[in-house]
Amino acid sequence: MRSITKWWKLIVLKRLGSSLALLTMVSAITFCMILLVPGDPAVTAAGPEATNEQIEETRERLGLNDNMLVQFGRWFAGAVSGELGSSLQGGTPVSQLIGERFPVTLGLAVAALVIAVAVAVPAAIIAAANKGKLVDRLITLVASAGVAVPTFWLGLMLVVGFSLYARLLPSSGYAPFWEDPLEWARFIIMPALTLAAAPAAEIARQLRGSMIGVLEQDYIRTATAKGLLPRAVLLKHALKNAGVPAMTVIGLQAAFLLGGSVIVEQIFGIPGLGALSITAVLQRDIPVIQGAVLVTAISVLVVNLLVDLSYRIFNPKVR
Amino acid sequence: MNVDNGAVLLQTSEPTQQPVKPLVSVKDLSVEFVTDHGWQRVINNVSLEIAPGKILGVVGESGSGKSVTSLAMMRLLPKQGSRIAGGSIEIDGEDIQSLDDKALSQMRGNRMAMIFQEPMTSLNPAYTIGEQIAETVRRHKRVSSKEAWKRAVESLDDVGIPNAAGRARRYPHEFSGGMRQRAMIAMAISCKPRVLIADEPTTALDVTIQAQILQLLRSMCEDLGLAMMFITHNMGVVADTCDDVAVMYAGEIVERAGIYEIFAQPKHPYTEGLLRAVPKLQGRSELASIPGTTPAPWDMPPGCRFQPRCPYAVPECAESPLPLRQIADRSSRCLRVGELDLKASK
Repeated sequence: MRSITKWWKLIVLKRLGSSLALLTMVSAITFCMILLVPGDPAVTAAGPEATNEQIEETRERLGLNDNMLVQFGRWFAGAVSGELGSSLQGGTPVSQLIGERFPVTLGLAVAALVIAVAVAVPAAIIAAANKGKLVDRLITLVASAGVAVPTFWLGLMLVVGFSLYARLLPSSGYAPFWEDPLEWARFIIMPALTLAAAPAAEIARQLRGSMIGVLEQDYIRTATAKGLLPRAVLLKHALKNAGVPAMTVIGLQAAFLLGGSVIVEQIFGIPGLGALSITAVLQRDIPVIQGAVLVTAISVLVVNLLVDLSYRIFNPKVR
Repeated sequence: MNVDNGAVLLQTSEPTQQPVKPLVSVKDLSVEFVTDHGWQRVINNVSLEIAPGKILGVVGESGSGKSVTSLAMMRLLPKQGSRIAGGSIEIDGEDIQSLDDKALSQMRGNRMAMIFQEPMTSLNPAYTIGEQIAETVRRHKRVSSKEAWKRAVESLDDVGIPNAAGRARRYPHEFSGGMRQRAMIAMAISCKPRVLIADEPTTALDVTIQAQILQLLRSMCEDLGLAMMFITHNMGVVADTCDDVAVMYAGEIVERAGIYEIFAQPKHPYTEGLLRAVPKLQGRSELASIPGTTPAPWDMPPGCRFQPRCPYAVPECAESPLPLRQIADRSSRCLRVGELDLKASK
C-alpha cells in the first residue's frame, strides 16, 4: 500500500510541475502569435462606425497600447487567480463563454471517441485474428480510407445522404444534452461520426498491429495449451497486452478530436469551443483566444494523465 | 505391414498380466510444413508409446523434429503452413486428430498438459501467477473462483514455491526463471493431467535450478502416475530423468531403447555421437562432436539420413531408406546394427 501512495505523490507532483510550465508556455506562445498577426482588436471592438478618436480611446481602455510583456503579465496574473478577463467584443466574461461552449465540444469529442473505440477495437481484433485473410484485408482497406478521407468531405457526404435524401437527421444545429438527450443525439450523431472516422482508423491500425505481435508470443501458445477457447485467448490474454500501445494512440487521438472539432463544428453549425475560437481569431479577441487555448491545453493534459493511469491497468510492471 | 510399427512399451507388470495400456500412443506420425520448396515432410513415420508413470526422453539436435512432434500431439502446430500428413495420435484413449476444437480444448490443460522451454516468456505478463493457474482450473473443473484460487495456491505449494499463498498474487516479472518454470509446472499439473509433455523445460535455467526442476518433474510423474514426454538435446538430462529414450534425427526416430540399455551400448552411430558429446572429467580427452549439420527437409540424402555424417557408413547405406528394425526389446534404424560395436564413450 505504501508504495502506491508514494507512487501517487510522485506522479502528482511531477505532473503538476510539468503541466504548469507547459500551460505557461502555450499561453505565452499563443499571445505572441496573436500580436504578431496583423489586425487591430480595437477596430472591431469599437464598432464599424467608430471614429479614429473612438478607436484610439478603445485601444487605451483595453490596454492595447501597453508593452507586450505588460499585456501578457496582466493576463497571466489574472489567469493564475482564475480571472480570464472579458471578451473585447461585447464584454461577456471569458469564463462564461467557455462555460457555455466547452461542454458542447466535450460532448461532441466524447461521442466521437466512443464511436471510434467501439468501431476500431472489434474491427482490429477481428482483423488480427484473421491475419492475411479477406476480412483482414477489407478492414485494413477501410481503415486506410478512413485515415485518407478529409473530414469536411465526409461530413458533407453524410449530410447529403442522411439529411437531403433519407431526411433522417438534421443537417445542422444543436440541442443541449441536459434539456433533451434524444434531440442532442440526433444533432450530434453525424458530426460525431465525421469526427470519429480518422481516429477510428488510426486506433484500428495500431491495435491490429499490436494484437498480431502479441498473438505470436509464447504466452498465447500457453493459453491455448491450457485449453482456453480462441475467444478467451484473444479477448483476455492478447487484448490486455495489446492495450498499452492502443491506449497511447487513443490518447493522441483524443487530443486530435478537440482540434478536429473546429472544422466539424463549422460544417454542422454546432456552437462549440471551435466555433467560438474561430470567431475570436477573426475579431482579434485576445482574451477569448487565450481562454480557449488554455482550456484545450488543459484538456489534452488531462487526457495524457488518464492514458498514463490506464497503463497501470494494462501493464503490471508500471505499478 | 509397416515395419515402422515397432513401438515397444517397457513392461513394468508381471509377464502373465495384461500389459499396461499406454497413455500416449503415436503411430506413423508424419508432419509437413510449407517451405520455399513447397510442402516438405519434417516428421516422418514417428511412432512412440508412453505408459503411465513413465518418462520417455526424446533426444536430438536442433531441427530434428522433437518439438514439432510434441506440438503435433497437442495439436498446437500453426493452422496455416503446417499439416499432419499421416499417422495417428492417441492420448488417454482419445484420437486427437478426430477431436473438434471444443473437445480438443477440453483435453488441453486438463488431460494433457504441456510445459514450454522459455519460462520467461511463456507466462502472460499482464496477469498474476495465481490468476493464470486458477483460470486453467476454472476452465476444466466445475468449481467456484474461490475454490480455483485455493487449488492454484495448492499447486504452487506442490511444486515447492515458498509462501505460495502470497506468491500467487505476484506477476511473472516478479519471479525468477526457476520460479517461473515451477509456476508453469504448477499450471500444467493443476488439473491433474494424465499426460505431460515437457519441451526442454530446463534448457533456459541455471544448472542447480535445472537439477531441482528435473527432480520435481520426476516426482510429479511418479506421484500422479502420469505419462511424460521429455524433450531435450542433453543426454545428461536424459540419464537423470527418463525411463526410455527415443533418439530423433532429421525427422525420424533412429533409435529407441530403455535408459540403461542405451547408455550401456548405443545401437545407432548417431546415438553414439550424442553420447560421446557429453563432457566427462575422467580422462579428459578432446570432446567428440558430430561433423556436419542436420539436412534440410528438401535436401534429404538418399538411403539412411545420417549416412553423410556417419563414420561407419558404407556404400549400401545410401541405397534405400532404412526401416526402424527391432532387436530384442529395442530398435534401431542402422543397416550395420548387427556388425557394429558402438560404445557410449571412447
